Amino acid sequence: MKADVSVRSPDEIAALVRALTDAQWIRLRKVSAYFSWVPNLTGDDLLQEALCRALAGSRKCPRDVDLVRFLVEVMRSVANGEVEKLENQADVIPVVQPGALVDCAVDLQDSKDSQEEGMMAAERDEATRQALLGLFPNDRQARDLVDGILTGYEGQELRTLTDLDQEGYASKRRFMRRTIDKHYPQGRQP
Amino acid sequence: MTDTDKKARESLGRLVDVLVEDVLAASDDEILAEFAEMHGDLAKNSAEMRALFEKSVLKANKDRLREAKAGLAASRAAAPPSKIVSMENVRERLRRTLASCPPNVKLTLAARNENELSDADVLGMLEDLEELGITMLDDESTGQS
Repeated sequence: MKADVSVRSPDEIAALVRALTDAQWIRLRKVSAYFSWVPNLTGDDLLQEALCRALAGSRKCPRDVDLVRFLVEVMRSVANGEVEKLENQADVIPVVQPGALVDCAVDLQDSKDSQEEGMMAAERDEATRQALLGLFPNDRQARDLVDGILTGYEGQELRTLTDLDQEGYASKRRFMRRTIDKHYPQGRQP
Repeated sequence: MTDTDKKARESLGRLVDVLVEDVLAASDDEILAEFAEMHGDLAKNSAEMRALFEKSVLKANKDRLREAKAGLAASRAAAPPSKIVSMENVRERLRRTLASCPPNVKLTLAARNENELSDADVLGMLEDLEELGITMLDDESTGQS
């Protein structure tokens, strides 16, 4: 069978990874830490899994794609897969019948939120939001930016929301990331 | 996981996407300066990451070996059953084997006419001969019809 020349071989990927610069390694580490927030994995586990998939060839790296960008996308995919696993996991509760011999029976829990669970989840969500907004006590624009992103605003909507021009918006985004990095170093979750 | 948890993850996911894009868009100098300011040793980080990569290489190799072993075991388990041949060919093979085997064996086994033997007897007799080390290639192998 002929090798696919449009994708990098595992050996080529290994050679490129070994040649990554300090800045590229920092990018990968930072990104792995961000992605680890959502499925609650460690960033290093996520990066290792992405590297393994690239080396095993289960994720193909096109030659025209930057290796760091490729590994970032593999990490995103691994993280999304973990989230899907969590979402599709049926909650089960043990069924213990008095006098029953079988001790491994389980009962599927109703997948719809109970009122109490919904309230607790909403509280957790709000606590995370407040923690992030609390990083910018004296900066309304940064708070609006974070809040807008969490709500689902994008690009022009965010610029309008924060009342910033292109340059100011880019600068505010950098400031937001650096502030978040300082408060949640090495993948600590908000 | 509750629906609210899902919404919270989606919401946090949007922030993650923005942070990731920002890190990728930042210049090398910016990234290096930020890291040095917050964590200090750049070389240490790269060394740790390279060690993580070498561990990944080992893990990938182990996974590949495990998959190869599993594949081999699966192909053995799914090996096709022994070739089904026509009894006519088997009887012919027995006749040829008996014709070529040593006289003492022929005396013992060929007591009865091959025509009187049941199919099971014929197969059993060929097995006995094989156990004695007396075999003859089958028709396909010898090119005979």
